[in-house]
Amino acid sequence: MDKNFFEFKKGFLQQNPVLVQLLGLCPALAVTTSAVNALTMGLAVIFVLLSSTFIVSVIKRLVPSQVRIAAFTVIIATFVTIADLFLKAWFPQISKSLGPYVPLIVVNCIILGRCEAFASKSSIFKTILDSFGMGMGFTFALLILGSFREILGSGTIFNIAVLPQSYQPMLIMILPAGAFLGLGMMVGFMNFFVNKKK
Amino acid sequence: MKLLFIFISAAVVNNFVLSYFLGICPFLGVSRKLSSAIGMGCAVTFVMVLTSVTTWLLYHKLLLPFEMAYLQYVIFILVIASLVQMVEMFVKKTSPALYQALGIYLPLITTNCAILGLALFMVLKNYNFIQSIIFALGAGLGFTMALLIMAGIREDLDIADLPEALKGAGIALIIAGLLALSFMGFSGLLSI
Amino acid sequence: MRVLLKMNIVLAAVASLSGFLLAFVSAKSDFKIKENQKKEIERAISDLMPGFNSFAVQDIKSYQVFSVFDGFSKQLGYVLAASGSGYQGEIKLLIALNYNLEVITGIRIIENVETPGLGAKIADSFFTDRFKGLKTSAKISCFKSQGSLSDNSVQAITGATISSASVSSIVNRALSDVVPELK
Repeated sequence: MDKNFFEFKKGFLQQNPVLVQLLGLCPALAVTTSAVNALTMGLAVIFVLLSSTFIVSVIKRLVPSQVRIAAFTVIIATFVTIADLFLKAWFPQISKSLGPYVPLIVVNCIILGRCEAFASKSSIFKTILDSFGMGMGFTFALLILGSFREILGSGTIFNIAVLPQSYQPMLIMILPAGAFLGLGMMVGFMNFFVNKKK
Repeated sequence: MKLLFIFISAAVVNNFVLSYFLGICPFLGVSRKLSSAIGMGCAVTFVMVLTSVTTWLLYHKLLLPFEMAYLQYVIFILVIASLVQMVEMFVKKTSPALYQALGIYLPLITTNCAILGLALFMVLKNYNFIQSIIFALGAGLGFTMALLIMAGIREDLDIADLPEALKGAGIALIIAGLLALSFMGFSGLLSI
Repeated sequence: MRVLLKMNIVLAAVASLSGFLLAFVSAKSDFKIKENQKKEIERAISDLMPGFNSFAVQDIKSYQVFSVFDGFSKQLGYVLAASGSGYQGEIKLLIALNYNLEVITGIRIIENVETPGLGAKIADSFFTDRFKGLKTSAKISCFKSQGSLSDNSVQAITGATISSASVSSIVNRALSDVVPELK
């Protein structure tokens, strides 16, 4: 049981996809202008990650190794399209603000990486645990960065004002430069934290 | 005029790396040396132009007339993957010297989000055929430029005295942030 | 040979399954997406034209023109849907005109991808309100500073001159394309 729990837990800290493995940085930087966007992107990635690694794990014996990347990519692109259509139909406002970064999940290295490195070699049960953990770790990192940028950049979190009216929002935090600076500092803190533990 | 506008906008004002965050993985991974940054930049620009031509034709001449726009992501990524493969085989056959120089970067390009991003933005901004090619050229140039600047800074950074925790990716991201800030200075460059 | 055959079969199977699945999902969500777009336009029109009850759509050149009526089928005015390029990408907006096409009664930005915090402010009411009451007979100009404001002009948002100017040029073009046709 411990070992299974490890498969789930490792995605949060030791192998956090964004902060330690530095994968999927493109959405992590682009959509974290607000906590809502960050959370939606995280959920979309969890959905795509879980469904595609599940399918890959089920059909892993059927796919010849020469074409596995191509097959995985098609599977991922299919689920991404489903997620995109779902958001467009039921959450048009959020879908608009995420723009092309939803379809860009297709080339998110986390997903292909998990399909290739884990799902194509492991049992279905372990794959689900692993993907869920990685997805949660991704969402967690995005949510923190998104909240951080939203609080400093607009003085709100989830669109609710948390800072006093007199607070002058730091515009830079919701501009591209703020994304790089914020993530850079988070990666630094993470390194500091992990190194200290050792 | 409109074409020049698109070109400059894609190259500096809306730089793919520094304001759209596309192609961050190679930006952090390959930007350690100037020489490899040039190789990567050229390979990406080349594939971008090819991609814009192919995906534009496919999207406007096949997917739209047959009302299959919902297949665009699957088609785009397959086109990019096979293009990269074909370019790799072609270069290997015709110019071994070029292959030596670009070879190792080519497989990496498939998962470079700048390429898929280019195809998606092209559709989103509703560019016509010529505009798409110019857009691809500008985006490629912008990507190469950002990569080169970053590589130049990082070569010096290796000898700088940094806090242990920030070494590597941390400082690279912070520098990218400062670069993005300075690129904002270009935003007054264009007026309509 | 057998490996090659298997490769092709597997890929073809994966691709066609994905095609079927997507066709199904897209058919299911398509009507909802269209409905959303329709609802959004209706909401924007009812904001722009208080008392709105129904409208009729016609296409003039590349524009959609809505003739808006109140509950007693009296014409309230017209709403034009126009679009054009902004600083970062396409801006889509609605322009409301009074019934004799002489005055802009309001504009509304329905889609934009401008810089958050700067250009994206064009969608805020403090900016769109500046277009209220402008005349359609003359060109609308866009100025940086308040001092140079003249007749039929709007003041640009600080730090977002290009986005602001894009909005006024989209409005100008739409008016000069459509108003003569309607008169």
